[in-house]
Amino acid sequence: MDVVVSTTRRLEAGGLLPFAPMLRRYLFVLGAAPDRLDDLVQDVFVTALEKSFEDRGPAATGGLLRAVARHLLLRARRSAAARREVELAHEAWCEDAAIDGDEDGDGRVAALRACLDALPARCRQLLRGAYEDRLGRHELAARFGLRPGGVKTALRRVREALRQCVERKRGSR
Amino acid sequence: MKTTQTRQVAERARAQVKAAARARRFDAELAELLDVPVEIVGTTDPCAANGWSWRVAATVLLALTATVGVAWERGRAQALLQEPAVPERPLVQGPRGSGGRAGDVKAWPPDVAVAHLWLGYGTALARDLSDLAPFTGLRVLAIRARTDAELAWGVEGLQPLAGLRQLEVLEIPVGTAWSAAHFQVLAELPNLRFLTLHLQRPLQGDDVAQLARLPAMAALVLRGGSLTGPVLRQFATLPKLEALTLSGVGGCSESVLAELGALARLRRLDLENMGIVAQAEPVEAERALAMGPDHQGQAKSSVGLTAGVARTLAGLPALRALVVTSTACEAAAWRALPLHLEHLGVLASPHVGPEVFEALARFPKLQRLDLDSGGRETRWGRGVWMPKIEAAIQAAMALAPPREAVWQAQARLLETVPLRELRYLSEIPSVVRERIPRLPLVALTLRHGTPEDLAILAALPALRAVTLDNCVERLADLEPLTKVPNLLRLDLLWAPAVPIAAVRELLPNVQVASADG
Repeated sequence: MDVVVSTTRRLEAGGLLPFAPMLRRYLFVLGAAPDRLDDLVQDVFVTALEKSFEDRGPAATGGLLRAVARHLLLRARRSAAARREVELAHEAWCEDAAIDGDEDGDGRVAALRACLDALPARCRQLLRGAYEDRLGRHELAARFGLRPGGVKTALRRVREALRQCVERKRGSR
Repeated sequence: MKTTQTRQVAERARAQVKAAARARRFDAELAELLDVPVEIVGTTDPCAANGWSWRVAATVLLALTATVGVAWERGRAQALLQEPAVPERPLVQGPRGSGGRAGDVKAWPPDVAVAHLWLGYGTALARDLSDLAPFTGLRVLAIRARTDAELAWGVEGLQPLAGLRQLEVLEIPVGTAWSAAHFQVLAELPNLRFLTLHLQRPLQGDDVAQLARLPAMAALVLRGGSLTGPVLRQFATLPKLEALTLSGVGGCSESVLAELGALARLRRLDLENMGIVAQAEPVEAERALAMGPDHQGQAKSSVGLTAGVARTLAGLPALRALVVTSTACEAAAWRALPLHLEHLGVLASPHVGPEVFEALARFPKLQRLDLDSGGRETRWGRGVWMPKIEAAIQAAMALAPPREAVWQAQARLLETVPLRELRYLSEIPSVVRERIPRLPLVALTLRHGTPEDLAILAALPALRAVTLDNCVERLADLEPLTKVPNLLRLDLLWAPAVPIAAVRELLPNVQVASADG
């Protein structure tokens, strides 16, 4: 327990914990398995702290943590093809960052949040029912007065609307 | 020109990887805001389930048609059949030989390409394979022995195998007296790609060290015997291994199967007869006649597909295919499997309920599916009269959970996944059969199909390749195939009553192959 507390304090002292959501997104984009994300994020923090991490501002810290994360992931990939996929995913992240002027991608999340808030209430409820409450298609269909096939269509449209909304907001910046 | 095309293909591949990364990013952002695990958002993505818009589907179909058309003109149609994601055993044509005694072997044609040996008690072949030495053109050799008592090969007796330099497929029993020196003989086969070992003893590290010298072996099937973790881990040294089948292999606890995580190149994993599956046990009549699934007992000292094993598989970057046959499965395992799987199968599993087939709809890249009606596979076909065994199986199946819910789930699955290849390895329930013509299938395999099942072939115009195993009793059964305009290849298995020449006459533009010669 002491070790955990001590590590947590060091993380807090280093100001690393706020980067956890960004790292989870980044690792998932690079192809990390969902059930490994939490472990990998902790590994990234531990590695960064072991390397006598110095706080040089959020941008530098985010960049450093992503570099550590990428190398951890590359080390776990044995084949050249798998490593190439990681590198290409990283390229995609960097290309988007250059367009947005936002390397951590927090602006994109904020845009998505605004888009979610702007959704009609029924659409938000459908999303939350599907993803938060994990209701099946048939339950959702009964709740929203749709056919089971219609639930899938409706969810697809909501997601597409969100994607387009985020793209519009990115374009307007 | 070729360089330009290669560059374009590479560019397209790069763009696809990046597009996939961006799609994951959206899922991750949405999951973060909704405060749910990212796999929930990604796997229930309705776009993933039926993400091919009609425009994309039409474009792909058009491109496929154009490509196949050009290839047909060049006489390369065979090469353009859908490339398997994993190595598949060749269906070799050519002179065949079979039998169990030296006299049978001497009667084989000199250019025999495919041979099956069933070693009987007291045969000289069980001590010495010298009689096989003249058949240097052999590409497929299957040797079976029912018990260890039938095997008495010393290393010298096995040595003639090393002279079969063309051998691509070998199935051989490994007796209790085998040593690493026996495996050393197998390691001298330069073209061997598919190796099946019927283990009558545990596989050991020294054995695997010899197998690692095989330069071409892509697929390894282990039946029976047992494994330990370090031995399984050593499979990572097999230089070309892409497909592994564990069938009735004992000792495979979850911690042993965790060593699968070392097989970074593995593209396909088959689990057969693993774990305790009460309803899938051989019924008494079958047991008495040694006609269980692949004549192999269930490995009760092993686990099947547990959530822990599934998490191990999630760490295999190259894995594309997973097929479980008569194997214990945890429902949670299907939720823990990696989402990049393209080929899944659930066979001979009456213990599996509809929730498993519902879970299969979560795999966004699923293109190939192996299914059956949920009963245990029988080893004989329509028209074979074994009423006692049929009655025993029916009695056992009556104890299994009701299958209608499973068939409904399979039908719903076929509605949501744009499959390109389907293997349905039993008679098809009508509710499932109705959905098949709506699929964009380019390849279909049927086993034990009825004439009603074969009739759906006429409603699948995109089909390029069809395999019919134990389905065809008379030429008229193949009539629906005359209505498939772009069919390129037909593989017929267990259709001895239908002359192959007559099939070729009925389907003049189709390459017809038959495992029966």
